[in-house]
Amino acid sequence: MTSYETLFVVKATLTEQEIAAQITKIKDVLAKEGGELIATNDMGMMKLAYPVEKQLRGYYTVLYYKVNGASIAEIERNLKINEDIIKFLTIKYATKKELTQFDKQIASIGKGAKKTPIVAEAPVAEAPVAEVAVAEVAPAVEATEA
Amino acid sequence: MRERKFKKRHCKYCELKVDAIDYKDTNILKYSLSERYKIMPRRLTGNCKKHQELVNVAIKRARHTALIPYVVDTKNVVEIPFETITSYR
Repeated sequence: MTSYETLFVVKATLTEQEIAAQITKIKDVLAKEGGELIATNDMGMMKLAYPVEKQLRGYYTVLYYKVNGASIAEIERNLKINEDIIKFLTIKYATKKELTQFDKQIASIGKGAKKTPIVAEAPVAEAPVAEVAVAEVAPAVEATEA
Repeated sequence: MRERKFKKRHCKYCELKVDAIDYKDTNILKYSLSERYKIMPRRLTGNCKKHQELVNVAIKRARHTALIPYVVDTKNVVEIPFETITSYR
């Protein structure tokens, strides 16, 4: 049994129940493979950094579990064929150092996970340029309609 | 003589005593990202080799999972860097 972490993103177009159903679906696959689910971290609905399958938002979930290495292929196959899951990533924790990190992460769930404080940074210089471009386009569209 | 853009500093991660970098903690990744979300070289950030290797892997994982963007250009602008990652509930 090896420790693994799987993050997956469910489409935001689904309702809350449907999202929950997708998550339990993956958990069921894990249970069927004889895996031991240690913890779940619901990161919640988040904005994606770039559009994925025309989606701008996604529901992030992280599962921490122990399973035989051979079962990972089956879990990933299920994630892959599911059209409501847009992204997934599995990480193996094998060395002693990694395992301490694994336990640390499980312990930090629900404690506002992010330890490092947010430092305000100057916005990217391109930002105003884009706004101007949008403003210029908008009146033109109105004119054509009139 | 060309003015140096960045001062040689000590490794930020060593100062924070980080022993592993989690790709989900995007706040900690930002020390090694440029404003266009490129990975900054060690010669500019002053990161030590150990932490640079850790942060490189973490940034690539965060990009893959759409936590941080791959590219930022005039067509794809991030209005408030690192603030896009917020829960809306």
